[in-house]
Amino acid sequence: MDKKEFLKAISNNLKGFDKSEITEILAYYEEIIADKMENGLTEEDAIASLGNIDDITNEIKVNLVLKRSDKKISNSLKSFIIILGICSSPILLPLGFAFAVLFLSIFIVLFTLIFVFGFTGICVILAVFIHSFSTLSTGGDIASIFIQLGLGLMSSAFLIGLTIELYKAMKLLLNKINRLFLKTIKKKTKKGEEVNA
Amino acid sequence: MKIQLKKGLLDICILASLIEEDSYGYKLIQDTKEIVEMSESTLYPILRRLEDNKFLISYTKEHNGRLRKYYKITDKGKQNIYEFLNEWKDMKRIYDFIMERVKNG
Repeated sequence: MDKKEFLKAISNNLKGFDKSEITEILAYYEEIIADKMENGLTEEDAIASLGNIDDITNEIKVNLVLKRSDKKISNSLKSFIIILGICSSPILLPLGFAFAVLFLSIFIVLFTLIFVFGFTGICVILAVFIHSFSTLSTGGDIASIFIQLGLGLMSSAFLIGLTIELYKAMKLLLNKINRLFLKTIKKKTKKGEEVNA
Repeated sequence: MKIQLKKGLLDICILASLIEEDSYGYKLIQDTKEIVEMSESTLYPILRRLEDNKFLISYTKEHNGRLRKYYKITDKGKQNIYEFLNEWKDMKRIYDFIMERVKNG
């Protein structure tokens, strides 16, 4: 494989990540290859010495997603898909399976709750207005209509507030799970960091 | 003997390699080879992290008709090394204490 093919393969593997980040990574490897060649290696050997492309890009992905979740700008679902992709390598398969089950079950449970509460909240608002109008048109008592409206809006505000809090909690929890698994992957795949003695 | 380096130790080794003079990726790996076998893909995130934390700054300089990225340690980076050394003074005392008991025992 020559340098061009190597860099192309890396940028292909990292599609979807921040462009400036990819540019910087490519410049880094290009410089390392040039320095290795300057020190006597052939282009082919210099590239071979860098190791397997999937390993290289998986390590980069783990670090990028971790960094993103540090800054709280992470999209948990997007990170989830990237982590699953990293886990497709044989040694990480069991971990990936555990991760997918945990992530999806929490997501489904919380999403269902959020959906139910949110939906109920909106239905209560609609019901209250429709009921008030029908009472009004049939010549109901204004005071009791206002009490109905007030109580209805209060309970729907409570439900919608609950939905929003649950949504925040879900984001936080899924982000935590992502980080936990990223760190586990990092530990499992860590190499080239042994002390020489 | 193969032991896993404690988290962050590698960062300090890289910072320490920059104290004497500015350096670049390939040279940093060569310079730390005697104590730690570090792959290029391990070094990259370390450099990024050190730069994000303002422990070093980077600049590009021409070399052999191409651009090479050099890294320069900052005062904050040096401070980080001194803090590390201070922490390890205590570690050393504990090590000596244990060693002494073992020897006498």
